[in-house]
Amino acid sequence: MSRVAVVGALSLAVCSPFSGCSPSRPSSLIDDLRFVAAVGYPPELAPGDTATLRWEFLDAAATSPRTLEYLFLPCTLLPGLSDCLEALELADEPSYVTEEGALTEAGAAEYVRRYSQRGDVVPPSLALSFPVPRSFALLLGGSPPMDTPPGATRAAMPASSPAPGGMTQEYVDASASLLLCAPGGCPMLLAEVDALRAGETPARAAREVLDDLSSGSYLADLERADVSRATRSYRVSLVDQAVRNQSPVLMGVLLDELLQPPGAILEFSSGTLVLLEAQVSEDSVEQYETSLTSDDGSSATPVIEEETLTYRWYSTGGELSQSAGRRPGRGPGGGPPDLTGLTAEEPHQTVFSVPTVTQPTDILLYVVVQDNRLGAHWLSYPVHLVP
Amino acid sequence: MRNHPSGHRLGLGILAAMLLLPPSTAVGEQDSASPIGQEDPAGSVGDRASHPPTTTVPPRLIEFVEAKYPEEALAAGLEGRVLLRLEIDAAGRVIDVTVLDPAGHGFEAAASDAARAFRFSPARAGDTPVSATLEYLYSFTLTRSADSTEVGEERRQAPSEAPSEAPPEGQAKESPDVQPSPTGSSPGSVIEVTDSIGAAPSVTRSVSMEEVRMVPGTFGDAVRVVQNLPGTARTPFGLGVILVRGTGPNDSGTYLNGMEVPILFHFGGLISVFNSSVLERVDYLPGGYSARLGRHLGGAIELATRTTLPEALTSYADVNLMDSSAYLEGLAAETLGYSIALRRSYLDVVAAPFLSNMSGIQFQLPRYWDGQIKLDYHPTSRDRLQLMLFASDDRFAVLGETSEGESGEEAQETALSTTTTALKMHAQWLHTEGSTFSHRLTLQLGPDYQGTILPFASIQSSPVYAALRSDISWKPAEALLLYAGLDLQVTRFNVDLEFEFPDESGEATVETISLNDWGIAPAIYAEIDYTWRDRFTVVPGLRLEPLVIPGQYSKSRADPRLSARLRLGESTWMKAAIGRYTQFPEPYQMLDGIGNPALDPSYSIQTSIGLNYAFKPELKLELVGYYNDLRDLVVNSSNEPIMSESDGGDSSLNLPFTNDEMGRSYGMEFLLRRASRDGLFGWISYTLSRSERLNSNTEAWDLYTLDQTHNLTLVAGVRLSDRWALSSRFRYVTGAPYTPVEGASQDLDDNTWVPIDGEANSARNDSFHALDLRVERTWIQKHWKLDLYLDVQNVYNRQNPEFTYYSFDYRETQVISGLPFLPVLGLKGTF
Repeated sequence: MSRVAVVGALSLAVCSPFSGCSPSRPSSLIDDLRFVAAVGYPPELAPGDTATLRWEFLDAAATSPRTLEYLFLPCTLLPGLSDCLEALELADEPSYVTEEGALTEAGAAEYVRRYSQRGDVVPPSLALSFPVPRSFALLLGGSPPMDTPPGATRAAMPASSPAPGGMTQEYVDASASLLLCAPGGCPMLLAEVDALRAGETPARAAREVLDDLSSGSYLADLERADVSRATRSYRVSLVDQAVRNQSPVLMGVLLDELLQPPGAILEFSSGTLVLLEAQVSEDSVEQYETSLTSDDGSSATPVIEEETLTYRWYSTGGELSQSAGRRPGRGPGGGPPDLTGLTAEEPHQTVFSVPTVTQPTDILLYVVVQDNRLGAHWLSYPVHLVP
Repeated sequence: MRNHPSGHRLGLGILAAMLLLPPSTAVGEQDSASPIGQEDPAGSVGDRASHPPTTTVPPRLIEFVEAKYPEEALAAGLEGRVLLRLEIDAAGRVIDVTVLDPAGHGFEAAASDAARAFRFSPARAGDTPVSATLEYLYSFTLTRSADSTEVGEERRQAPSEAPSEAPPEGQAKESPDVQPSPTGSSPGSVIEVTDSIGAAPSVTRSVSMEEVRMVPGTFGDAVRVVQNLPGTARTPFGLGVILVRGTGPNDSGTYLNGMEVPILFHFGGLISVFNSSVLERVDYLPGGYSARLGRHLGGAIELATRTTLPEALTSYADVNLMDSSAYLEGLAAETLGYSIALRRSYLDVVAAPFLSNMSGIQFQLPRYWDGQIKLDYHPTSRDRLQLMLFASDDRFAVLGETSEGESGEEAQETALSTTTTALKMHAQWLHTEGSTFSHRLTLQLGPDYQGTILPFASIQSSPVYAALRSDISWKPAEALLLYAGLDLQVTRFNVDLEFEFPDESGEATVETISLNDWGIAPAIYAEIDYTWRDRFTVVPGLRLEPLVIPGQYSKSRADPRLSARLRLGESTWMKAAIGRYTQFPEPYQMLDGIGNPALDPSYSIQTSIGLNYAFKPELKLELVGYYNDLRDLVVNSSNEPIMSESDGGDSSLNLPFTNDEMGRSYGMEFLLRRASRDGLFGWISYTLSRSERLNSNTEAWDLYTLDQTHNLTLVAGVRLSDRWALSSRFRYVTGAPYTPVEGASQDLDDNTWVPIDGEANSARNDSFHALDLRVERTWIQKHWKLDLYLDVQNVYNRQNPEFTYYSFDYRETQVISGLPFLPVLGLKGTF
């Protein structure tokens, strides 16, 4: 590690106590347009299924309810190559895809036409469905394998055959992205979309729209406060499994040893510290079979694993300690270490720093649980704050 | 961009006041005569910056003759200073006197008459007396005692001997600036900071130890003075690296007598790891330097240890709020000298009460120490042997939350720690035969350790280096010098990488990679130095740069280099250089098992042309333009590691380093310097530069991360009397470029935010500027001297931006400022 990198890391670590330099807005605080969770139904897919992703979000930036606009991108779009053409059944139309598997301008136009929408999106959730093709493209680590010819699919291979690189491929994680915009927040995008629908804009514009969305440069031109973009992986199993993954189920929140069921109204005194515990159903932690591939890739040994759960807490006021799920992004921009000192002892616990209020105030509290196979569940609670 | 106009005005105002200040307000209490440093543009022989000096000693004044004060001047109450050039023969007699800088009113005649009667101990090349040329400043000063109005008493003081060595006969010797200390020469009283283009035509900027000590913020560290000269970029947070002419922090080499040293500065760049008292020279070589040095595509800084024997038992102790140091030198026998230097910081202890129990995180501030033990043995007049042991250690840690271990004991998690340690044995043997031949044999051996431990990863490198140099210089004719040498380096790499990543079940898996290989780099070089009619010098050279790691890597490159200098007039000369400079990749970048063994070495083509002009012997201007073409730079071409499979079926992790990056840097360097005279010195250093890297995706030239368009440093110091000294430094540097984050995408899988970068390095931090001041009070007694100093950095507490932090979702930013107002009080006693 170079000395520059070391000092960068050191400065990251010493920043907060020396100068109070870290932006102080806690990650648990939702004060803008923000996603809370996305859950796939079913949580584990197979080729041929219809996948539904339900996105949960809050529009805390709005002073009054408002409708939103969105663009849904059900698969990762890499520059010059559309990994999910099969998913969108665009590959069946030769004019939509080149021989190399790249999306043509016409294909891009069709993609945008199918998946962009305007209006009628009201918090707190948005469910979007799409087909998972039987000929799902083989993905490795989010990038296309170099030696996989276009059109080659895992579904066409024997389930036990090794994938390129000598590893047995049991599943692929594809991703979906959702861009939410406040009214008028995505003017460039939706103007293009409207034009596409009207057939007035050359298909090249759609290609540019997708490229911009993929590279992120489009986001740079938007009003960030009223735009939020999130990605969520979903798992497509490529081998037959006796039991597919099920999402964990939150039963409620334990407060002073009393279980608060979903929908209960919580009440806290201003400025206090409260310990909250998430309770899940007994069968939320599943066991599943996977295989351990030998070093040379010639054999695989079945092993039984147990799921691990992670919890995340959010609120529209105050601060909740996060026991898991945060990690530095990169370099000095990775965010400061959590220096609240309010660390719950168990992963399912959190310490809620109740905000100080001078008059009765209502806020929302969210808890999200997720297993390591991308199954998820969430609950929300209205919270009444008493001065 | 936000500036502080009031801060600018304050800084410039103080500087202007100091520059306009009379050099002395206490008439008659300063030195009246001293030899003056000179840069001889002829530079006909040898470059002390690039080749080992031969063992010659300068003439020493042994019989001073007092001049008659000119009656006209005395009647008018005038003072004057006359700069003379003295030709001294091999017997030590002054055979010719030339007035270089007259003062009128009869001063030059009186000074010339007196100087002709001086007697010197002859200069010697080895054990042979030789003739020499010396510049000498004869000052006429009227003395007014505090309780008397008597006028007309002259007070003169013989010059101190320059401890540095003189060049051989015929060499363009520039007598270093000597600012005699009140108690005579102290250890390392002269440090020459040298800038060289090519081998022979050296351009030396002599900086006396007095100046070094007076530059605020350097704390008497000669190496840090280099950071105030043209061509060097300011490093963020005082990062302990040297950035030269738009190249990266690892692109410039740091050497001790030609041997690479692993670390030059302690952590944070507070101070160098070598005590200046054991050094004779600091050679700053920003580009176009000799084939004698290599393995880096940027600049070079070479430290040269003192090889002269101490004249007497001398010691000092320096205590300030950051660290303490002590130094002792003396003679154990007539031909055996010793030097011992120790330094230890205690900033960690001093600041600990302010940092304890801070939000559950405990910080251990940087702690460093270093030490040098040096023995010099002169068995004959032609041989010098030196043995030195040096060590340095830097540690820094951030400790996280305390947790209870399985056995009940409390353990504190290490959030981050870094350690850099070096232990070296360094030996050299210098042999000369008159002024025509010299041979220096240098050996260095010892281990290093560099470790960085993070919660999720650690990298520990503990290489063992053995290096051998053999440098020969031969002068077969008056105008011809030949240099050749072997520069052998054998390295045992020991690198351990350990990192954690979650497996499919979310459990942490620890992956360990160990690299244990050895490599050999037997470089050889040759250089010819030819001077035509004392006007034109040309130095072609060639360096062969191989690197072999048995069974893995074997590549070799030839680096041709050429430099030249042309005298245009008595005070004007041009210089130019062009050369190739090869740099091999780091071990972790090219070793199989983690890196890419197919990597080629990076290289630069350095070109420069410059002009030097001397307005007066003490006032000189340097102007240099340069262009560096950087090729085959090593870059991590992808964020994704590559899993490779060997023939035996073993998988390994390879980081996809490639040679796909190229860069360029170009600029202009300006230095106007007033050498120390009458206690007044200063310089204006300005660099206009641009450093870029070619973006392979966009085919556009992006700014390099460490690019600095403007870099201005003003230094001024004045010794008001032998009791008080005042100095200041003002710096202005363009803010560092950075890539702005235009937005972020929320990853709901693990609740992180992925930044969306804007155009590469398309934004800049606000500019850096700061004013530093230093005040020193000196008490002088017969056998000791005491200095009390106050060194204040960032006087007007400018909040200079260094880094930008983002909130977790990249919607909020916070700029981190660098060094705040920092007063350091210290005490130094010399005995």
